[in-house]
Amino acid sequence: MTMLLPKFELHQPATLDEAVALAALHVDDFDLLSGGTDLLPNYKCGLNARHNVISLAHIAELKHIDGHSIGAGVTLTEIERNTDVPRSVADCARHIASPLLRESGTLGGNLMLDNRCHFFNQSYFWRRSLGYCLKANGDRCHVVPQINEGGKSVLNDKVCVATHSSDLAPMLIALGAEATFISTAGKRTLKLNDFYWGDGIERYERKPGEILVQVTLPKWAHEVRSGWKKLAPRQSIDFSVVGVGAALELDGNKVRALRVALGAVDTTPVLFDFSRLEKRKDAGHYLLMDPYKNMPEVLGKTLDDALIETVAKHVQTQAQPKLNVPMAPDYRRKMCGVLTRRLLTQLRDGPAE
Amino acid sequence: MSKRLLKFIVNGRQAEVAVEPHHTLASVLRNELNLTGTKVGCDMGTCGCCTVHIDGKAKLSCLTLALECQGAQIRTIEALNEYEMHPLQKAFAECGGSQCGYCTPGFIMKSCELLERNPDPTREEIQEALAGNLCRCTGFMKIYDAVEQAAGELRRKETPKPAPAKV
Amino acid sequence: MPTVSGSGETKNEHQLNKGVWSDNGAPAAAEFSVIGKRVPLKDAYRKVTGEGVYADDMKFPGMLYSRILHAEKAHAKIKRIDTSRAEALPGVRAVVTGNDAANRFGVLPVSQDELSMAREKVIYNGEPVAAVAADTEEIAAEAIWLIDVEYEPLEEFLKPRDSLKDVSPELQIHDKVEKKHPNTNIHKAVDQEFGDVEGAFKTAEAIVSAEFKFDGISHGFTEPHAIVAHWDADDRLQLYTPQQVPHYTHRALAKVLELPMHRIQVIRTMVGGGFGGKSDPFQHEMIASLLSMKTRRPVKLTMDREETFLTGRGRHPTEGKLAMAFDKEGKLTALDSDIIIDGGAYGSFGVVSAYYNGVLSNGPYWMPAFRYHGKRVYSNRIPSGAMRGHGSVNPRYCTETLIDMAAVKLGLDPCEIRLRNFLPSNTLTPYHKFRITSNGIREGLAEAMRRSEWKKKWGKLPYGHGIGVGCAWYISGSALPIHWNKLPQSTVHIKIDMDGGVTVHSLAAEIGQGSDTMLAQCVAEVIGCNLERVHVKSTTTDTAPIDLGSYSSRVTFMAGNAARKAAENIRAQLAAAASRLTGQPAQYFDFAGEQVICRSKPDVRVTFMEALHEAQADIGALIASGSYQAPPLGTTFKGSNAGLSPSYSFSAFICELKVDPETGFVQPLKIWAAHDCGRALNPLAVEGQIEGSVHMGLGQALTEQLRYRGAQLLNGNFLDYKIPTPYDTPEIEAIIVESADPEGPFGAKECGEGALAPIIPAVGNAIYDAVGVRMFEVPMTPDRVLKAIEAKKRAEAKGE
Repeated sequence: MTMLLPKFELHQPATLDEAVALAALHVDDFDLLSGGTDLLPNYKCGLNARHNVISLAHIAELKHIDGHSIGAGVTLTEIERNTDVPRSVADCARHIASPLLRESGTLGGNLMLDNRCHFFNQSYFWRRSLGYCLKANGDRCHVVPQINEGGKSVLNDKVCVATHSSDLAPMLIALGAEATFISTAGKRTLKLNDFYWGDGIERYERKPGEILVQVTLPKWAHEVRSGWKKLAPRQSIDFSVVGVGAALELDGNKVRALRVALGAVDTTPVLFDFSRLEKRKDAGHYLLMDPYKNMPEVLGKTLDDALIETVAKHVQTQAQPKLNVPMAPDYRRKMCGVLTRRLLTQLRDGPAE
Repeated sequence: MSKRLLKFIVNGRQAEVAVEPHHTLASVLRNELNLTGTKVGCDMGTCGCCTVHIDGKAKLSCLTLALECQGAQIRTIEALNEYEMHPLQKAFAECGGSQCGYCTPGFIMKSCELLERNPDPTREEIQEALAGNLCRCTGFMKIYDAVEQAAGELRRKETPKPAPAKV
Repeated sequence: MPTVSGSGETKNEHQLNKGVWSDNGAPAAAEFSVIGKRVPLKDAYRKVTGEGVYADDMKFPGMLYSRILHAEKAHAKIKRIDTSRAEALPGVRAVVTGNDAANRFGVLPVSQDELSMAREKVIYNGEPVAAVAADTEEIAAEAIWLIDVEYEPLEEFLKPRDSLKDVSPELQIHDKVEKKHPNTNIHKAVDQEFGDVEGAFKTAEAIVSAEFKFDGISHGFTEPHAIVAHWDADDRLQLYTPQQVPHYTHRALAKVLELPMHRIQVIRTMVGGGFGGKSDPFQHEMIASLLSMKTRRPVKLTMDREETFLTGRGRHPTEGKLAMAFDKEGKLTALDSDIIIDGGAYGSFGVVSAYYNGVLSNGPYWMPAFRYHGKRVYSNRIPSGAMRGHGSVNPRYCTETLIDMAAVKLGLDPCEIRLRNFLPSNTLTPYHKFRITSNGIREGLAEAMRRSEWKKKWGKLPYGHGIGVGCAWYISGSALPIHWNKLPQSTVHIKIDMDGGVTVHSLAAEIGQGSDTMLAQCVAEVIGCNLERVHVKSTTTDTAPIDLGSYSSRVTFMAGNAARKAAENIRAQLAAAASRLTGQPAQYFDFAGEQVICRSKPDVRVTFMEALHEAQADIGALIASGSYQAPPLGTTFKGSNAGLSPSYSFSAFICELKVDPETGFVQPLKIWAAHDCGRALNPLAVEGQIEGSVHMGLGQALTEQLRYRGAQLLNGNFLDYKIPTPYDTPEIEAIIVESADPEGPFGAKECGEGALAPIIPAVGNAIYDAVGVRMFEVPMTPDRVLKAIEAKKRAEAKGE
């Protein structure tokens, strides 16, 4: 036992109200702990540890699950075994990490997963040898060391490109899920897609002291075809290096709505809403991808192989994976196209059997 | 960050230990309670060696804060060999499911949870349940054999016997 | 699982002694009472219950905890080390640096190039620089960051080819390098040429050649390095360590600590996996000992997973250019190989590795002409060393791939071309004079072909679905010991007192492979007692006679033979006692089932205990010693010792798999693994070794690699170092081939290492069968496979 945790104070509220009060009290210096499967490995590496850890594990209000809403404290195992949520969501949960990790890991933890980068997810010794990075203790990015500023190549001391590796986030975004947060200022509900934005450090919009309560799925999510495909070096344990979630609404054989969300290729999940109703908050950021640039017209068209190929090509073209998680970026980019094509074909044709 | 009293039930016995908030369950079990059967292989949740049961669920004790187990029921590999050796333990030995033995307690605890949930698993279900445990010695084949053998023995044991005649 | 009979002849001294089979050739396994039975490992019950004690489980009164400060630079002069801040931290009891131990050590006498901690300069990122012993692990962990080290960076050598360059002495990683290349960072160069290589290539019908590249890999044993050192009240050092080779650690400790060996006791704890990664004497063993000597307190040192990766000694990153020539019948006529292996920062077993990468290509095929240029270089990377299949695995992939390519060129079935080239049994290889005894590789391949339905499948499966073959051989122990002396390589003592317990003392290290069980079986078989009666004590140097330990696949052959001989000595004493009790001549007794039975009059018998107590009259406990020393083997040219073994194992594997042509993912479906182990003393353990080797080999084939960012290891953890999970491991069918080696105990040969090499080319060759591409880089990761598929498509589009 040698990966020691840094010292912190542990708070174990039994109600959401208590948790909110604690979060307000320690507003700049706390982390939320749910299953601990992401936070504790990071703490063991000495990554951005805080002095206060607020456990959400004992709050019954966070553990409700039905077809409409999933509490933040519901474990991935519970989601995987639940028959009321869309099958794509259960299937997505079933492919996260490993059975042991899913037993502890929760929806909230998966959605709040810290971004990953092979210069960041390292021991203190390792990062000290390298000289640290933007995301922890350092002043530069080692993945994209130089950026273009005003036509000049300068040291990248601004933008972190660490990869967002959550699987449930893109899946739920594709299904149009909303997230509800609570703080002393009250409840706030927003599109899950609007929650994520920014670089690998910022990565989402959480207001001070906010706690994720639950995710709700619109009725639409149950009515449409949806599915999940994941690429990872091994078939268990590993984080995705590409994840594709999609929700498809057909009118006959014509596309009425199509939402494809990519995971593990950018600093946030990236939604391709072919209805163009939902946009990326930080669109136009030159280091991050823009799903709407040259987006093909899809609505009202017959979902034939050619159209699927067009969609897949578009997703692949826009994806900008970085060399900071396993498997080469150009390969992962290609796989964005392959997985999208396979998923859409499967959604159109139904399961192989 | 002072120590707090952790009261929980470990292998059927009430235990009280003063622990700090940042201590993991694995460290408390091994260092404070001397239950060293639970091993730590990677300390990061990826090898499964430290698997124990927390309130009946197989979880990673290296990624569980000890104080989060306040009032919980913990079961470790040591509990399976009280009065009688657990069929899984016998089967892992007899089928060659344990070589160097370091991952074995974790595999057995996860398998035990599986068999309590599903007494008659298929080989695919065994494989799925054990997909978060790494063994570097066996290639897994003999581990699956062991779980199958133990499942059979447990099912035979649990076949209801005629009630003993009243005296 | 059914076993296959091999073709070997049996003239086992032991079997002759037993008398029953002397005229009838090989006995059937059924005629043994303990040998050949599926026996649970003797220590398995302690492991499955959690009772077994590994070093990190140990606790001593007053124990201190140690942590190591590792070098943050890969190649740099140490300008200054200041430990004062660490020493001032409350709870810190001692700090040591390189200044505390000047003597160099290393597993090979020719490569004494390791220091307990770096002095003057550091040579890889991760090298121990200083260490702390403190009251708690947390204090120790805090204290190491209070040690200030100032470095002056030197040019780093990170690519093996850079190490070939002539450089100034300052840039030589070690003072002592290969004599032929004095100004370089070449550790060892081996050049061998036999037969008419040029001529063979000139007259060849088919020439195949390719350049190969292999990433380094790690043993990935599950137990991280952990030890306890205790300088005790008697001024003796007790070192508790999960060592594969306690004896080499014992020697190295004596050298570094400048103590006579008898003032050190090395105690092997349970070993949570080794695979070669716990067979060097280690720096952390020296460090904990130094700290304990300073403080007179027990000192525990447990490494985290990253430190365990940094300690290294895994398989060498390898680059090779190999060519093979064949005649029109598909007979192999020559091999020309040029290989460079990256040894990293230390010598370790590297001189042996440099030889093995060449000479172990002289089988399992008859090699009429052979040329090898091999170089092992030092670099500023994690030290490489011995890992399961030491030195033979990567070149085996090369030659097996080339043979497959030749089969295609010559229009032959890949199994057929192999069958045409296998070494016969009972022969010497042409140049190195490796003594081939029994050889069941033909039977093994035939059986693997039959079970896999090879003929129905090879070349006939749909695109994306393929089947491939790979064959290999391996030594059953190195015939020449590392330390040249007249001591036997294995010695076993047996003691039986009036309680009837048979205590077997040996220093052969039980590392999970089942060596304790094997020793017990050998003894129980000879003296006819139950296995439960036999207790193996194989942990402490004070009581166990020297054995060279668990590496080079030597234990069954060598320690097994020593145990057998010791038991025969005991049996003679018991037979004499039975003779006294029954009046029958002593040579007429058989031993089985706890009985001593008169052969001609089976009704005349005494029990084991009756014979024992009679034998103990006036002398007390029975004691006996047996030893094994490999016979004189080989030939005379310089370096001809490398690769010599009293016997060789043979294996033939077939792998069926699917390749996703769009993603490059390879999904193995099933492996048929036939391995000739001479005789399976314990088929359960043999299958375990075969299946485990296949799993580990699949890791190297498909997912495992040590990845670096400059000089820093990127993936020193079990999330990023990709050991195959249960999902990534297909069904493995172990096929035991028994050929009965004439010298091995009861006919046994090795099975722990040889079964790893063939799986990697079997996968590569199956990928070719599936999608028509040859993989020259290992591991065959999806991106590499996809790149190869795309290159082939582009070439085809161009009409090439």
